[in-house]
Amino acid sequence: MIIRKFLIFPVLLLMALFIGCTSTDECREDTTVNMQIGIYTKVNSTQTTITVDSIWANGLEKDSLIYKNSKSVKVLNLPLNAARQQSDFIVRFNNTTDTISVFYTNNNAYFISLACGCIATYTIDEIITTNHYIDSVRIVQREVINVNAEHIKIFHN
Amino acid sequence: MRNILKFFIISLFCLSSIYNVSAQVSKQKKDTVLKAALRGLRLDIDLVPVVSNFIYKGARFGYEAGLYADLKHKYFPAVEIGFAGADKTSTGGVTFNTTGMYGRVGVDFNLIKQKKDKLPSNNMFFAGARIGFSPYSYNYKNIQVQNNYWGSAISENFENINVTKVWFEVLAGIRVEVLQNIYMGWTVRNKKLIGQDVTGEFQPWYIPGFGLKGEGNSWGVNYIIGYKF
Repeated sequence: MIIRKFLIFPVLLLMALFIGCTSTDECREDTTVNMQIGIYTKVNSTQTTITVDSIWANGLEKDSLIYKNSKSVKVLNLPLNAARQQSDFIVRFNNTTDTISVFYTNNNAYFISLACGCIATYTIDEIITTNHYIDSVRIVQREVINVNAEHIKIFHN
Repeated sequence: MRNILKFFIISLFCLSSIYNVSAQVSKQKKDTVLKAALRGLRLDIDLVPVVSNFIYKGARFGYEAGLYADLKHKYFPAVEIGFAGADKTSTGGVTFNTTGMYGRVGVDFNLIKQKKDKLPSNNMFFAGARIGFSPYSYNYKNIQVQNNYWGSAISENFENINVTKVWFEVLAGIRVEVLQNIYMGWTVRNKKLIGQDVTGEFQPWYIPGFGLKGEGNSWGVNYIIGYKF
């Protein structure tokens, strides 16, 4: 019977299956979660982006800088604190300094994969700033996840 | 150890080719067999775990058996039951583990046409379909949530996540009667999970009976030894 010869066929298949196993060990997803702030000016209710010549930024009571004299900045990417529900940032626009306080609810169990684990995601509740360089703020997207998107607009007059 | 397994597999093949099926069924018996709708039950035991459990070194294991009814040697309603599990730690230190039972129901169709003037062959080449399901629970341990700028990572455990996964399979294979009532053969399956994932929810790394839950379809192979009652 010809069919008997086919008994040997799956051994080749099995070998291909075991050798060709793709590794799922490496994380290939983007796991950085930042709140993104766009800098705008508003003239007669038309919004245009501003490029700030120099930006310094750090978290309140943190020594390490998020932006260290960065040139020609249009957007700020600020990391929120996963361990708290509030993050405060000190941002210097050219020579004017403002404090930005963000209040949010966080979810530390947003699952990506076995290789990547979880990321912290946030829902922005409120944002409060001092008004030296910043004229006003607006929340455009409350959900902060691992997707590059603008969440906050700040306006400079 | 690998050589021993190779020897084991090769010797099984030799066995199957040395012994010829001598269908010594009398004409009278043959006629009565042909008339009956239910022509027997076959029990298949999967031999793949003998090799695969060793290769995966405990990261994955599984055992499986199936029961098939022979209806007119054309249709084979099937029930398959198995027990499988996984224990895996990623390079990032996250551990996933699970064990669970699974079942499948479906039907196989024999694709070999029986010739009327000849003795019926018990060998078959078949295609079939299954619905598979596994109600089970799994654990993720030591998941790190990065908090790079503000402080150290937060480590969390998520245990006893209960789910029931359902999937659909199409399959094909052969069964050869190597000795009287003793069968050997293989089945290749393509499995497709039913249902949509919600992004951000805990998804299992492994599903008993389905395999690795990657993107899209999963493949499976059985190499069986069976007995027909």
